Amino acid sequence: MGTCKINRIDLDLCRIARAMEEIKTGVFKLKEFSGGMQCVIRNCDRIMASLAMIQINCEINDIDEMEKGNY
Amino acid sequence: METMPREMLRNLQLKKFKRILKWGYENSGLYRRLYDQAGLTPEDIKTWDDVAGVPMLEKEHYRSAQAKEPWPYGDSLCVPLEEVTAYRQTSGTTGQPVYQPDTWQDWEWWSECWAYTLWAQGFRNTDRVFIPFGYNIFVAYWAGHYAAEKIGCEVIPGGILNTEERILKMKELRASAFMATPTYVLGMAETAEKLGIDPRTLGIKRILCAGEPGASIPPTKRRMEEAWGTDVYDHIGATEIGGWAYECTAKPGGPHVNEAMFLVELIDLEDGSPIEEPGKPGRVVITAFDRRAQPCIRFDSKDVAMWGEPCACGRSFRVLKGGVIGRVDHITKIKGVLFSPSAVEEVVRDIPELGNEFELVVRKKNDLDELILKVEILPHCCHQENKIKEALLRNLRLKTNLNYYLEFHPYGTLPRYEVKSRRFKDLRK
Repeated sequence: MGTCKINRIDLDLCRIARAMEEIKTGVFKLKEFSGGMQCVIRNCDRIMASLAMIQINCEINDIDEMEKGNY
Repeated sequence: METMPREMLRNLQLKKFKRILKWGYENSGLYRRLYDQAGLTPEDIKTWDDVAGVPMLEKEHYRSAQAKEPWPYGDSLCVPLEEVTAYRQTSGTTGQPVYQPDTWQDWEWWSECWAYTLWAQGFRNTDRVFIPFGYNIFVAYWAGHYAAEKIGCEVIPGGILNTEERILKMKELRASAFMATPTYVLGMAETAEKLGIDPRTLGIKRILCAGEPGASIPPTKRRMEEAWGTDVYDHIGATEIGGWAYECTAKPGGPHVNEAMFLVELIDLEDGSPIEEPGKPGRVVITAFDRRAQPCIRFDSKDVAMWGEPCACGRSFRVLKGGVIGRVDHITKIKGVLFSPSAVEEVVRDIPELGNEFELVVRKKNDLDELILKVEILPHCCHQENKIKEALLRNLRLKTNLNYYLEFHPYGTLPRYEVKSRRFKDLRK
């Protein structure tokens, strides 16, 4: 053991954050256009929960702070 | 997050702590009362010193909040009841069980925490993971199941099968990994041998242990690894908290705290001051940063642990040397000596002529504390009883500074456990 240095990766948090915002806007639109259709609502809710996990992991809910280099 | 420089990580943790405290204060009657009584508002939290002054939460707080409406979570609940999608509860070992609500997002979070564990321990989408767990109201390996799916493993739920059936199914399907308590890992190996199957031939590549501290106790870990011929890794979690620590493949002698998802504070057992230096045991106080339905903020886990040295794996997350080394409510004084039952496990499991099971009883005899240790000698070692007795008493004395009455029981007669073992009985209380 001892040879398991974990990979460092190229990560652009600002671009991830912006892409996330776009997905969120799309999900809200989906819900709005669905007229309350249950199959759309339930799957949109699942997408939102998964998005929240990306947010938690990358802590990308504060774009201004990131652009100031505070992350 | 796992390799983030410490200073950045600490800044991020402080920000996350403030956020969850505000969430709890604004949405839960339980936290509002607790902080109001202390004269604390979320705006008061600016520095780590302020964090250390936030009142700690205990199981009893949950219990009393859950006596209120809405049933069964009371005003510890931070979301509308209709957003709750999962119910779990604690085992009730220390009293009335605590009910645990989770929203779908919380459940995603649970499996996310476990995904850190599995990935760090080498689980990949090529693994076929067997879960020998009675899927029920206890969270145990539920999140392990979903996390394994999440990272792309093929998961075999070993639900209501008995131990023999589980082993045969693992063999039939060529499982490459499984997860269980250390007690059950050792019990499964015994059962496999009774079936005429050498566990080492089953092709298991990794085993995740949770529920008990054994995988961070070197002799117990060694027994499991020898029995199965593979790597065994530790994981720590609790129903009210989440899966908060995991060992990595570098095996640094204990698990990493998942500091992306949790704040873990160690505080002095006597005076409650923060412990930052390695090697000093302290009470484990935990905050889950992102658990929303029933937040866990500065929860007194009653576990005892100590910081270790940085790990070679490259993670900046701190290591707990030896994992959970005891329970505050198990650490007791016997004959005036501070005593932790996990020390006895280390000694027993280090003697190869002894079986895996043991039981420890402390009772009063003529106003004096008396310690009785019950062990099993392996059938082919019975002729060595005197030699084993001598080694056991000597090592116990060295490790715990106490004397014991030993009882040797026939192999296979002490109780076997599937989930959490109860090997320590204090009859003085």
